[in-house]
Amino acid sequence: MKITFAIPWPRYGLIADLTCRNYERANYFGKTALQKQVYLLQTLFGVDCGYDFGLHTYGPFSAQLLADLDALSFMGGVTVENDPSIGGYRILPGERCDYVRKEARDFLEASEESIVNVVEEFGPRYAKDLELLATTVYAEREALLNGTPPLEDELADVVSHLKPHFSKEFIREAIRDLRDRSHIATR
Amino acid sequence: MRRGAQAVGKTFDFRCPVHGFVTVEDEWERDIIQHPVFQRLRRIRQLAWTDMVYPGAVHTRFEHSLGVMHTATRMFDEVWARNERALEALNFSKESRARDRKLLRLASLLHDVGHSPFSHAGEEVMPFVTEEKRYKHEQYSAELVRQLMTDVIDNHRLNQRGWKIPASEIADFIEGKATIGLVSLFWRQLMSSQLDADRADYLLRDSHHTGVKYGQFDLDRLFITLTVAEDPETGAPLLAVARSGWHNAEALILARYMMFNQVYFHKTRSIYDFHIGEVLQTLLAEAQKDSGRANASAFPPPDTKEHLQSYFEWDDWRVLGLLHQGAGGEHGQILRDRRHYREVFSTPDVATEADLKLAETVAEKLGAFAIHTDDASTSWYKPKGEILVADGDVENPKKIVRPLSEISDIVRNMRPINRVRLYVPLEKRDGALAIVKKTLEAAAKKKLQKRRKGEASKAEAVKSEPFKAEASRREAPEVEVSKGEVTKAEVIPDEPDAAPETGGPA
Repeated sequence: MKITFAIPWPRYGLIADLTCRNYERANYFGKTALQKQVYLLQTLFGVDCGYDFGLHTYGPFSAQLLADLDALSFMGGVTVENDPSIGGYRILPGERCDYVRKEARDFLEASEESIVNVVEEFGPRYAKDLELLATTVYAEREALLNGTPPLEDELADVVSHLKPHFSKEFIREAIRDLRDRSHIATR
Repeated sequence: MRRGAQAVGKTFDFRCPVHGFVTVEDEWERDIIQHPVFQRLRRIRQLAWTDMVYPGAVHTRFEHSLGVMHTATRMFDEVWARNERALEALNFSKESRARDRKLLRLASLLHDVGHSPFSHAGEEVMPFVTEEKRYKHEQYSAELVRQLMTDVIDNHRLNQRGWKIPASEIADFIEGKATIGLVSLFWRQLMSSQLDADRADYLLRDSHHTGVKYGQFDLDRLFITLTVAEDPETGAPLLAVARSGWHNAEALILARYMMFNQVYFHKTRSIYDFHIGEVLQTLLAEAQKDSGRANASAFPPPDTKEHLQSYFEWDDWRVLGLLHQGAGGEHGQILRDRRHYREVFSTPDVATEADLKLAETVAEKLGAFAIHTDDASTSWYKPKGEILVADGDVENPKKIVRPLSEISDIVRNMRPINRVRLYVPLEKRDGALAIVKKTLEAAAKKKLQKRRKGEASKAEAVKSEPFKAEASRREAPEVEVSKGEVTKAEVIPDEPDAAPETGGPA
């Protein structure tokens, strides 16, 4: 009987890989960006990253992902630095980043195209925009569970109730943008 | 009248060993508590068979649910009382305050109605939603409320007359659906977050009933230091702890950590969860053999009223009754005889890669012994996020927010627990321990040889090029060496289990 208690290298490798790719492109990569990019990778690109996301005031969030970030940081795979300029945290490649990516090679190779797409498409976005986009996707996927895509107005209403600090027009633009890229469907 | 409450008619009080009194604020709440779906919680133990280790731990989800409603309400009232202007700055409406409060109370009260018999022990017997993902008790809670409680929620005269809170809204709140909106999502943090009433109540209650004092922290201090802040990166409203309360928040984290190690992940408690899971599968397979469902040894999914009715029929009493009649197969007999599987190997609490590899080797060697493994990293008891500490004017939501781990050295240095344990049937323990000992000795020998070889080559290098060798030693990457070498991996001595569980006749 072969039993494995392996460290979850695919999950750790994904965090390390996203950190490196965002770093190379000079994208600001903090805790919000990590949460939202992994959520979008899993939801829009169908990469099974193994995380359960729930909706919070700050958008989709996975506690397991945060715990993995902590564990990876202890392991030296990434460095999490306080950035007083934005009051948040910047995630940077750690000294063992390459080692962790190597351990997760199979998973990363299989998912490479999707990871590249997520970083290219969503990496340059501000945390606030990412939160709005991820929340919109979350609301649309939830509505889809009822069988049909939501009306654009309906989806805009739901998102507006979740993100009242964005104007309705801005939300509609975000919906159209996601729809035009075939990430979501509305009627 | 209580702050923020719309008391209608009579109130009722339950005595509570943790909070003193828990008040039921009107007849509507009383009737919900009287409903069979809620009353079932009297027959679901909070900590399954933990009483085999801590005899006092026989409390139920019923008293915990009342405690969560009480605690969430106190938190809500204190947050409003101390942060009124900050909440208004975030456009939280005073007009809907009473309704928001009622919704939170009812969701908190009902959040656990979907637990299976013996609480988390039954979660491994939940059916699969997708290939790899099982249903969770929260989904059962939401569907039970949505489909079996409309009579006492939607149709209740006090609700129809005033509150107008449909069962579906309570269910959506429990699940955290997008449709509940920002205000409800914000208050939902009081039910599910690092600072929630659920955790606050179960730590104190479990600590009280087990007699393990580590679960204690200052709940009253927590109440008055909860505050409202904004996410610095995105501006989203957050629940945080005021800076003056961070030591207490630290105590909460420590309480959780200690309770995890001493109670929730106790080696004997954990193995009883495994046996109960096996028993449930046997009982379900027998009871549902004519159901036509593909997986009859799992609970019915929460997708139809009929399935929910069938799920609702399962509680601790039914399982115990069947066990008493001799049902439950091999694991039923183990429970009756109290001959649970025994731990023969364990990694440290925070296992390194090398520790886990050693555990794999030991597991492989033990193969013929029908081992059960227990992995803390997959346990139900996980952190739900970060505790945030807010600095600044209480009236202003724009505070400086930092994670507790940045302020507290203790929290910063706490690593995720990923301990792995190996168990074997009692009658195979001696043989298994001999194998474990042999495997660990072989591993230690191998490691010693490797170390000597490394030291010899280093010495050789120093001899020939002393400066270069020193530099290369300094720059060498961290080697994947086990912290859990033989001395750290715990070999469980060949002796009876700890005293608490041997208190009765076998």
